[in-house]
Amino acid sequence: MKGDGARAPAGDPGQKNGEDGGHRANSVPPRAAKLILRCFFIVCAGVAAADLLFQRDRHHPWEAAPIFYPVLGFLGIAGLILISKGLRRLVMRSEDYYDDG
Amino acid sequence: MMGSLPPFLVFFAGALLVPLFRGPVRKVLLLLIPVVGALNMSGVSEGHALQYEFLGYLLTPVRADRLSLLFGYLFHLAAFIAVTYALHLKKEDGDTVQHVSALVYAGSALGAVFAGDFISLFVFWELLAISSVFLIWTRKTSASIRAGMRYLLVHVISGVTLLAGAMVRVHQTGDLSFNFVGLEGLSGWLIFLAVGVKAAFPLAHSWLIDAYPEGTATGTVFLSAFTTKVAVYALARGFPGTEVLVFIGAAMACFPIFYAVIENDLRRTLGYSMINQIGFMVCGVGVGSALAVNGAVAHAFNDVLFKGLLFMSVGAVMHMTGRTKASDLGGLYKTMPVTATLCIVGAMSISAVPLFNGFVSKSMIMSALLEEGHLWIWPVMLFASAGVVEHAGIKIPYFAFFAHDSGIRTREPPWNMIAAMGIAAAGCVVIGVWPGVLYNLLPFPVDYSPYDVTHVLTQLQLLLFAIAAVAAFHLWKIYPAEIPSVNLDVDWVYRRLAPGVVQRLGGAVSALDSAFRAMVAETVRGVLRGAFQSHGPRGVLARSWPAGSMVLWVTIILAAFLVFQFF
Repeated sequence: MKGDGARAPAGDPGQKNGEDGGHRANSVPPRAAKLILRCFFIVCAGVAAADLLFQRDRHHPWEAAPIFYPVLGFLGIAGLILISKGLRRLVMRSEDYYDDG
Repeated sequence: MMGSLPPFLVFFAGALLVPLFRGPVRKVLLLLIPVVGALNMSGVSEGHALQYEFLGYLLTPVRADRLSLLFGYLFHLAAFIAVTYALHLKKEDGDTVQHVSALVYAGSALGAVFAGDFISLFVFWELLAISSVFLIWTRKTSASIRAGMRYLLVHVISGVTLLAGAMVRVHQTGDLSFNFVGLEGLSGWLIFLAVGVKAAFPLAHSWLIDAYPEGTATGTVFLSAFTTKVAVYALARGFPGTEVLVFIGAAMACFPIFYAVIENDLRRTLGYSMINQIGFMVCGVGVGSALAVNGAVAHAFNDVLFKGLLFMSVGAVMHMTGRTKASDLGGLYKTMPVTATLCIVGAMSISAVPLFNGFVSKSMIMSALLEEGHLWIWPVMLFASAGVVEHAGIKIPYFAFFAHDSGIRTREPPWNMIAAMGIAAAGCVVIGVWPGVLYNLLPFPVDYSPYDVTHVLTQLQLLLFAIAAVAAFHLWKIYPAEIPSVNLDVDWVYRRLAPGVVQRLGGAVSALDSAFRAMVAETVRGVLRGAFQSHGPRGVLARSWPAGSMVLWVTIILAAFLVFQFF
């Protein structure tokens, strides 16, 4: 293995990424990120609206509900993330947990 | 079959030849082995079998039908891609060990899917474990050595269980052939358990999470292609339509995605993702209809491509930066744009985006669930589909190549790694755009089209809103942070609980043993003390008694006898 990645002074390994990783610069310029997200949410709205325009086949009783798939997709992931955060409290240990065993 | 060698022999012969050469000659030889193997296999047609008698048993080391041929094509393709990815290995990487063990491993996988009897299957089953463990050990870290030992132990147990099931089956039925098994009787359950361990059934899954992230960057690509796919093949051969598989598959598809969200190591995240995808295949086999089994094996085929591509892209990051943890990475798209693009192709494929290969196989399984009336499992699998987007579709490319800038400045990996990823990405797109390429190889005739308004629209809605939820949680700053950590899984039982229990039991037994020994020693000491008191130099029995005293005692005893005589 090479592992020869030079590190610019932007951050250190071992620090958090994600919700509280604000101390590190975002790799995508904020204006570009904002534009991408805006376009993405417009596409989402269009795809959800298409549910009302197209007659789709229904094989499951729940599919009859309007925008069933968008709701399932959004709520499913919301539930997944929230439950995972709860699971983390239960199962997360320090990196050397098995080393000192 | 006439004119063709057994498919596994080409790889085994290649494994013998490879150590004899180095440099460009070895590279050419490595690339030629899967090509020659594929050409050889093209001469193996449906219905042909190679049989011979051994110790009174009729063995079938090669039995070809549409199911085994499909996996045969798949394993040749996987071997070619993975070998291309591993061409750059040097002496300090343990190149010879990795190349040889990878070829034996690929050959064993081919042997297993063409094995027509349980003894042949058992031999290749164990060879899979023994050959593949070197792809973990060659990393030469203490963690990889320990993980490799645990991996080997679990797989040897799986093999022994398979052999026990086969022996019971032969004893009961006299039939050694590997066809439909089902869950009738002890032999069926033993074989099912053996296959279940290799397929990473829930509670038997942690070997995968434990070992795959500890393999070398190139070795894990091989590992991701063969072992679990052989297990899916064995389930499709031996247990199609076994209803319990529907529930096991649903559990496999769901539970790993919760772990994948909070896992920091990207290769371990892909391990959880692999169990999730196998869950779809297991579910399809459990449904058992022609559409479902076709969907399951088609998804196994596609999984080798897109999961291999994802493992290769994270492996390329590992090769260039030495890091695989989300908390250490980010912003690599600036210096690894080609790898990032290929990773995104893999992410879109595994997420089942229309025009990518995951879509054309996963939709078969979902349609089969509805057709066969599994109305409660279908929404569960739909949830699992959305979950894939979160952890494999977004998390892997986002945290490796985008997210917060880690400050790492590197370059693209060697050409062979890019080429291997390119071949896998091309496969993902070709099958996604022209699903007939894959459908024509499936075991049952296919009367199914994934590209209609309903399938495409509903899939896009599900995926886009799943991504929207992830984006919203990021914007609201409640998405789980990537924290350097480990998460307890079932392996905690044998890595922490069992050793703890054994240690405590050992302590208790040791204390009991010490107490018992002390008691025995004390008793012996007491006896010795008593003996010393009576027989020692000053003991009563050691005293020199005068002759008069002896005569006196003899007289008393005789007098006593005399008195007793009167009564």
